[in-house]
Amino acid sequence: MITLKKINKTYGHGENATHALKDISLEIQEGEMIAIMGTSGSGKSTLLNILGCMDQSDSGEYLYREIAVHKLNNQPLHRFRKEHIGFVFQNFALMNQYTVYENVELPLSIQNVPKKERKERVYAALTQMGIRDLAKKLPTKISGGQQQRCAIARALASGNELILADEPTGALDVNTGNEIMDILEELNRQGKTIVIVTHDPKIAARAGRILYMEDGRLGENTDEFKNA
Amino acid sequence: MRQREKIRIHDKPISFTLMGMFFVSFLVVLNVIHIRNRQEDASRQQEKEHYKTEQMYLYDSDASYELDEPVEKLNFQRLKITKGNVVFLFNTVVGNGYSIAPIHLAAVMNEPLVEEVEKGRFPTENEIKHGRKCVVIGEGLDRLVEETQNGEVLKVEGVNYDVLGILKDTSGEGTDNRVLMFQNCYEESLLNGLDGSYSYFVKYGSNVESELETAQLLAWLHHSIPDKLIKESDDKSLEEMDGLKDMAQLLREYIKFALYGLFVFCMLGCMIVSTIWIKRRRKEIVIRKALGSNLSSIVLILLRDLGLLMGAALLMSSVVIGLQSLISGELWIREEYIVKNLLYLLASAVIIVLVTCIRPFYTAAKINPAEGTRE
Repeated sequence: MITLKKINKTYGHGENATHALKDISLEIQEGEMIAIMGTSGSGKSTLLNILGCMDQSDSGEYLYREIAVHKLNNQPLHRFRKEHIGFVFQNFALMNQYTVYENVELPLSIQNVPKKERKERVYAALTQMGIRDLAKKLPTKISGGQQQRCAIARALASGNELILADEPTGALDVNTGNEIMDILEELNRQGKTIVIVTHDPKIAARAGRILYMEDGRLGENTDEFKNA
Repeated sequence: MRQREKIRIHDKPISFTLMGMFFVSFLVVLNVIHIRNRQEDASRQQEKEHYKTEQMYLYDSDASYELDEPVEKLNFQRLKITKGNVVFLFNTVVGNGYSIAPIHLAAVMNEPLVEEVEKGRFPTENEIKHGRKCVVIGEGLDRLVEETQNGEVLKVEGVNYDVLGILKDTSGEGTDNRVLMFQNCYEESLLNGLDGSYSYFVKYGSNVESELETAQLLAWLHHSIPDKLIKESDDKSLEEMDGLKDMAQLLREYIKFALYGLFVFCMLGCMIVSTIWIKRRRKEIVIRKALGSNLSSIVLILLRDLGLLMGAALLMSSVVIGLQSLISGELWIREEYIVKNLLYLLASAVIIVLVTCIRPFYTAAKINPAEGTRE
């Protein structure tokens, strides 16, 4: 489904340049649940941003089902992102002045989905996340776990087949974190492809495959970096 | 079909502050429009008066005439001769050359003085305007008229004046020795040998009926001010008359200048507050970008929200202006200036929008969702 070939990304210039991704190559199959582990500054979030088209690589190829994503820019890139990719962030990334319903509805508004269909999909997602009764509440009035469920519902409602989760349990307690992981596993069973970035090995262990990042390089295990 | 999102007011304190800045800006603009209208009024009034001073009304004000139309009757009482245009009306004594006897204007003011021609005509406006050397004379001077190849002339102080007409002799005695000559038509040297006390000038401002001008005329009569001094006193009197108008005009200019300054201050305020407004919406912009919204969609949403605030501010300022109009009894935006006023308002609104939006939208465009989502 997704192929990355020799992806490189550098921030800054000259002496201050940071080579965040070094020749990253990766293949992700449809329906996989992958965890990318690494310490802070290893480049895992940068990789997630490249996968999510929120940033563009300096070189290399990004293929998504034969679509050369690395060649897209501006409008086609925006369209690709909103049609294919859902995000779940550590800080939930909910709009506090919108209700839970409106937050989940937002990507559907951006996709110009008709109002009636939006309503159906939003309520379906809220029901699946078990927060239908919170539809009219503001994010500031619900718990962290509920907020994260709202964020996942947002990704679910948009119908994106790829869900990228950046430290989805980072701001939650253990029990709530486990609940969130249960939800992500369930979504994976339903056919969603999920990529999770985490520094927590317990969270990573719940994924079907674990990849490790260190100093901008990606490997199947940490031993690969010792030999680099 | 584009699906619209529900309109809401984000970050109410900042939004209302921004709306307040817009409100003051529009209030300033509407007041400037009012001042400009008043200035336009004053300018049109001046133009009318200027037009009057340039035009020479030789006839009864009820009569209509063409600029070049000759007439046979002059009603001096209703004469509205403009600044710079003076009528000589003097008697001559035949045999001794001539001397000037006065025609009391006070008498003119109290009794109608109408002159008609027996033969010929009075000079036209154009002839007076262009200073044609011409006169209309009494029948008694007919024998002094000389025939030349260009017509009949009367020589006065060695200068030939075309005789255009013969005044109707109301006395019936055939001893009408008067010469009627407009100032523009005389030769400068005519005054040199004259005793000023015998020179009486009829000189009008814009309206003979004004008290000031009547007093002015009488003063001229009694003091026999020579021509060049008449011009000075005329300017002085006009200065007095215009003094108040100038003061009002000056005051309006100062107020307008102050309002322009306030407008600039408001624009700075709008720019600062809108920058804060956008920064407070950074999270929203980041999330929208992360969810696939492109910059133009985000800009449209921001413009819509700004438009809402501006619309409310314009409405509020219009209400205030309406109240000001009611209290002062003056219309702020008037029908005769409606197009100009609306264009001015529109131009100001465009400036307000540009100033408010450029920097903040640039800020919004620079927001990287990849960095923003980690905040």
